[in-house]
Amino acid sequence: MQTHSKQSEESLWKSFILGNNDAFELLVNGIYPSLFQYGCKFSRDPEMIKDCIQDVFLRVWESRANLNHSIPPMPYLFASLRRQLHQQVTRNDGAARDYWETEYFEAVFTVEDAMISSEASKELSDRFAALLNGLPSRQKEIVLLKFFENLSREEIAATMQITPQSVSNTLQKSLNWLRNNWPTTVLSAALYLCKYFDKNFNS
Amino acid sequence: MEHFYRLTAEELVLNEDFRRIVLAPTPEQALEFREWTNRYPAESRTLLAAAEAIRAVRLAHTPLSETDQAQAIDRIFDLTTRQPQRTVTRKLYYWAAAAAAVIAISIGLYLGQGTKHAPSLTNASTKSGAYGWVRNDHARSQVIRLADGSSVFLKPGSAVRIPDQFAASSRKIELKGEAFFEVEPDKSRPFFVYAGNTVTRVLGTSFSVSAPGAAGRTVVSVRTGKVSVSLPDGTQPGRSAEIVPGQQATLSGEGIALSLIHSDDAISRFLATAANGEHIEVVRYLVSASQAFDLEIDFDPRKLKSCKIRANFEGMHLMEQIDAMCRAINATYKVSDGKIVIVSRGC
Repeated sequence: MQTHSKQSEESLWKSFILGNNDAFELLVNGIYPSLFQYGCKFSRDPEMIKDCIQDVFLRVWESRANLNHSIPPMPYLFASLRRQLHQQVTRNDGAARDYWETEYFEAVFTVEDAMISSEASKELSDRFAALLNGLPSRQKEIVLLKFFENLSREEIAATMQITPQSVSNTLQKSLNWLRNNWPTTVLSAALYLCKYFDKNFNS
Repeated sequence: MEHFYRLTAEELVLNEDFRRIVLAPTPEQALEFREWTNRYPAESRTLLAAAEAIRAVRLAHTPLSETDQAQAIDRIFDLTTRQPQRTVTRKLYYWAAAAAAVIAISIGLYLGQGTKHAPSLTNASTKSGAYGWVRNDHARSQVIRLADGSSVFLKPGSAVRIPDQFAASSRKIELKGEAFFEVEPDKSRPFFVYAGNTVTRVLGTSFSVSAPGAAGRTVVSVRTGKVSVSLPDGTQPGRSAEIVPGQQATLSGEGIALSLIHSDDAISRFLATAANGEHIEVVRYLVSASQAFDLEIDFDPRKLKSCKIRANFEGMHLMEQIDAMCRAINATYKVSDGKIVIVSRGC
């Protein structure tokens, strides 16, 4: 997940609202991958996600005269996309409405091996990813927005349409759970041994 | 920085400050981090492992190829920054003006002609003077609602004169140029269009009239219903005619010639195909209507894009169709500044 420089997004947002079309294009280019990946957590249909993102940007474009240029754009766009997807998903399927409340967020965390240079960090990363994947849906989304999209408590609240207080509570709960539930190194040590044997005795 | 060295790798991975330094450092933080880890390589091993884990653990991505993404972004720009400046609601396309169109609604009549408007304007204005004329100076047809519920689709460059109030026994309208009329049936008050030196009399129908020049011809085409046309001295033989569906009359100084209409014009095509079906997509229907009538219809395609209706609009005026469609999708419409504006919160 990319982390964006908030500063540049906010200044692009501001300059777009003041009428700079290039700023709009830069903003779309910069944010699109994040929005798409975020959208993927709510739907497995990439075409629908793309349509929803398009709708979000079209609406932003058309209402630019009335937009607040001092709000941070990321949570605004995330929230719009989330809403749009929610509408799309639940409109087509009544059963999806209940499902949306509990199991809507399907994020799976993985380890990108290209970033790894040592066994120690590989082992740590595997455990961290496994740990995150154990979080329930809502906590996972908050952790994603907090840790991976670098959004503030208020921004997460705006995105998920819950109160900042409940963001704090859920985040605290998630962190406690994460701290207390690190998979023990025994398992990863076993994995490490397997690899060791693989390397040394099976070649 | 020091306090990070007291934390375990697990604690570092979850530490908000440490994550920020890894993922989105200020230039100063980045420099500081590099200096510390260079200076204390052994002690920094945990930090570096944690930093790597923070960078390496990410959401499993749904693949979106560069090309797909570029296309999707292009599409957004096509609809936004690369659009010529325009109003919020989208305008529809121009439709090449079909001369002598045949009307296919409940009763259709068309008065078309070979000569163009300028002479007829001179002709008509000598008759009526300039007062009270409404002229369409736009590039497309303009729609005017009349007090009796009838509609006039006024072609570019054309003008109509409509009384503030219709008489109790008749509805009379004067025309210069071309217009298409959808007339509310009212047997007690026939509808007359005075155009050039021809008079078209209808009880309730839709039709268009093109005022002829001094030597011009007028073509009246009727789809359904019955319409009578007359030249001056209409009581003399050969100076007036009744036109039935499928016929058209060509009026000139020499008299009236009847012939069969050809229905291959945009409005007929629209009425024959667009307005009937199980799953009419409202957006597509409106786009076709706009093109066929060369009329601006304002609506928000994103709001209406999932609207579908089942309808049989055969024999209905365009305005009746729009009315019925809006009821079906719980939208409202109005005629404003010569165009139809549809307001909907979506389906």
